[in-house]
Amino acid sequence: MKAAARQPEQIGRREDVLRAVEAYESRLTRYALRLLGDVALAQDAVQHTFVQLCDEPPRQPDGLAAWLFTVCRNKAYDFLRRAQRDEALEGHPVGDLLTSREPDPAEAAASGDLQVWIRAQMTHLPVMQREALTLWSEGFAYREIAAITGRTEGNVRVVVHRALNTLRNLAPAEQAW
Amino acid sequence: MNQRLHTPNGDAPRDEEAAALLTAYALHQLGESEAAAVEARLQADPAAQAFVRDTRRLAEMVEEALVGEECPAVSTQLRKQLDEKLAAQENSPVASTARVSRSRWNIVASVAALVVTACLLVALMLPAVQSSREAARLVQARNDLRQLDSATSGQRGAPSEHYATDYVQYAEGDKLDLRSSRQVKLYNGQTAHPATSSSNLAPANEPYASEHREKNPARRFDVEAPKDYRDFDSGGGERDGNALSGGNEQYDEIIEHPFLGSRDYPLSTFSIDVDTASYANVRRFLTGGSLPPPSAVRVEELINYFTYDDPQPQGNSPFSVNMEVAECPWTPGHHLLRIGLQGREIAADKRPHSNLVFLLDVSGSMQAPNKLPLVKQAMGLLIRELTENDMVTIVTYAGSEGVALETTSGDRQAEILKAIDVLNAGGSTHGSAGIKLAYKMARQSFLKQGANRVILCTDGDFNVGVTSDQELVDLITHEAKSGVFLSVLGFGMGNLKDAKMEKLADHGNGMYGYIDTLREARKLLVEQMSGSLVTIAKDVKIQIEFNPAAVVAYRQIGYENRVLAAKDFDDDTKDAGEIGAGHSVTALYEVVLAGHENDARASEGPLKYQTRGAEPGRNTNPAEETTLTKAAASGELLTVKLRFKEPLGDRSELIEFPLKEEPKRFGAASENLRFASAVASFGMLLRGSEYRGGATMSAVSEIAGAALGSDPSGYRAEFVDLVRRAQQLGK
Repeated sequence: MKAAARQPEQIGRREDVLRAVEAYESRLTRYALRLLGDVALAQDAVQHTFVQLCDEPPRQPDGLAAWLFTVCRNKAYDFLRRAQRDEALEGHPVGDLLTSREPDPAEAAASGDLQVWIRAQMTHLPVMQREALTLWSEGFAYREIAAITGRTEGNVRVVVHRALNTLRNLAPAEQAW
Repeated sequence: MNQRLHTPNGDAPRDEEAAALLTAYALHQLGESEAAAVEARLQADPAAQAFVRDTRRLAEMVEEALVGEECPAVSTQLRKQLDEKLAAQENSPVASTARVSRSRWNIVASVAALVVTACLLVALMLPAVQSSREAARLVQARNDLRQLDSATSGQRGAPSEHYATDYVQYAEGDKLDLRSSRQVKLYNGQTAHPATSSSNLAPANEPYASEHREKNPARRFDVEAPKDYRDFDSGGGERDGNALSGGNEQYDEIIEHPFLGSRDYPLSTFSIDVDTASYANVRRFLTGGSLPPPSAVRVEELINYFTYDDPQPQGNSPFSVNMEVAECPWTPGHHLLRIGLQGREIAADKRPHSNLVFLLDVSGSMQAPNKLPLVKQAMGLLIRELTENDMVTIVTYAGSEGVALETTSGDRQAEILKAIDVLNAGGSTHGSAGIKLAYKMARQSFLKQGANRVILCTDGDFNVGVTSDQELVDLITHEAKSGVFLSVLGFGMGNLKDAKMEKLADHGNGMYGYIDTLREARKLLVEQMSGSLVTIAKDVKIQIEFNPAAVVAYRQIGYENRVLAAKDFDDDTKDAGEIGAGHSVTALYEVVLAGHENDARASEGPLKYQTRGAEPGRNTNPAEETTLTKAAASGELLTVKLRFKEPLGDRSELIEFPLKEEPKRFGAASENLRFASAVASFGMLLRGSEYRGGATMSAVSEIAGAALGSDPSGYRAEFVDLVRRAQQLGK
């Protein structure tokens, strides 16, 4: 019967899930956090992702990373849409949600810590660019980013370029790229 | 820095595209041929070379900065939640093969900070997941089975088994579809295809006497559930019809009522339900751009979200009863029966004195803008309506419970609002302690002649103290004996424990509403304040006896978790739903009207339209078992019996209304019936119900649009808008 036939697969999957949690939890959280700017919401999105992995794992074992990021992204966007709707209805500014966490960019730049500066700048990028850059930094190829975000590769190409260009143009004058 | 001025990064789209190509090249994202083309160009373009070089440097910095960013601490909460999910499933009786001791988890949980341990634990728990997903359906079916067994116990062996077996099969997805649609066809076929139906009908009870009874029960779950619902949050993915939760949101699976023959099952008994949470929740999904999970759609709550302009009751009765029969819009040949209860309205200034204890969840999970901040706004709205006749107490709970506002007169608004204003979310959720404290406060200020109510505002995520549904239900059941009513207001998303909150409200003699917007808060707390706060009758039970001479078969739409055993109707110790001032409750049945049927089966209680024959055995000739009474020839379709108690009473009153009415054409039916039918249809479509018949979202929209009535608050118009959204999402 089917139940019996499933047994070996399940054992394999159990280990897979364990590995996935270890390998991806923090990366996914970081990604969701960049999208949402709120730790609790980001963790909610990640939690949802792993619950989904238990419930309805991807059909192909390849591309687990892309699958996890896709599920996580969808959940995060649910939250974002929700937050935007709340803003429209009741005036909770989404902006607060996204910027409150990061140090002031000017301050960070003045402190000379380039990494801090870049991270701070990230929060000012449009969510699309922020997301594309984050996924790229997580090691996804344009093709994969396109699949995760539901865009075309050409679109990803432009979005990543814009993101880098924005950072380039905003950089303090003494910083030459 | 100045190099960038020489690089092709101008505003014109074509320039940007060219620059984006260079960036892609710099990041090694191009295929061979494109890369070769770019390299050829670079040879002759020093500015572009510089751009590529700079981009690589910049990209390197960005990558370092992004990957190097410290992650938030690994969440022990995640592991805990996963564990809870698994433990809940693993605790179910059918999943015993994959059981992991819960006590073992409790020990481990105390050191859950040790991530490695937690990881291992997750691994241990996982085998339960697969089997228990399927098992969860069986659990639900078995619960219903138990309920139905008690409904039919002692009376007859065969019929209860039949019904029960049917019910279990009802949970089986594909196989079930086959079966139930066969039943429907059977009744249809009675008139339309006599040749086929006669053989089916030969042993009169065959539709219920399932051949599956003989089968090995284990085989039932060979069948994959139908995958006909788009995953509501993972884009193109599919969603099992039997998945019980959306993300971390938890919903109990709903198993729709089947068609029942009124010879065999003349009595339909249920508790009323004035909850409306499901509608607001469905609206949240649709306006958020996704279809709700089927189990989040409780059709009766959608229908009861709306007010229907039924007449006010006459005399002393707490409600009027209104019935109507008209053609069923989604299945030709069937009819719809609407039973509407309209509760007596009490003007705001006639409202009895009230003793309100707000029990607010201020745990960490309530931080989101649509949770505690919305709770505070919602309370603000209600507080402004209160007077010196009201008393307000605020109890909060997070890691520990506390009194945020001692009992205060309702006219000292500034004081109350200030206490609300300073509330902040943080910490874990010790719900049970808060519940105990809130009831204690309510008892201390108990008004004998007034409305005493605890208003719980939460996302339902109780993770400390008593956390299991059953224990919480027991706690609430115990506390409710004090005469204090409970309102449960659900807030937030992503973590919503829908099933738990509904159960709490049911057992606490109360209502459950879901507040997603300030507008919904206004509807529940201000517009319907007297209804939400003042109960005019409790333990309201409805029992319909169908006249088999007039109604061949019936199917109740919705109310799946409100079924009562027939014998519980007269049992005053059995809890049922409450009705508030001005509330209306609508029940719909899809019925098959016909002449005479040759099957018969006994049922509960003394029957008006037939007398019970000898205790029917499984294989006796059904024709000998029962005979119709004289009343069956009366032309009455059915009799509605209602039982209810005064808000503080212990003994129920019984009222009966026979229905003798020529069915109307659908177009000639009241706006009430037509609108309710549209909402029911909408719910069945969202549920992917096999009984949706020929319904479509556009038909729903058309019917509802033509039955808006006066719609003073615009709720019906909003419904039509939601239907359109659902239509677009469904494409």
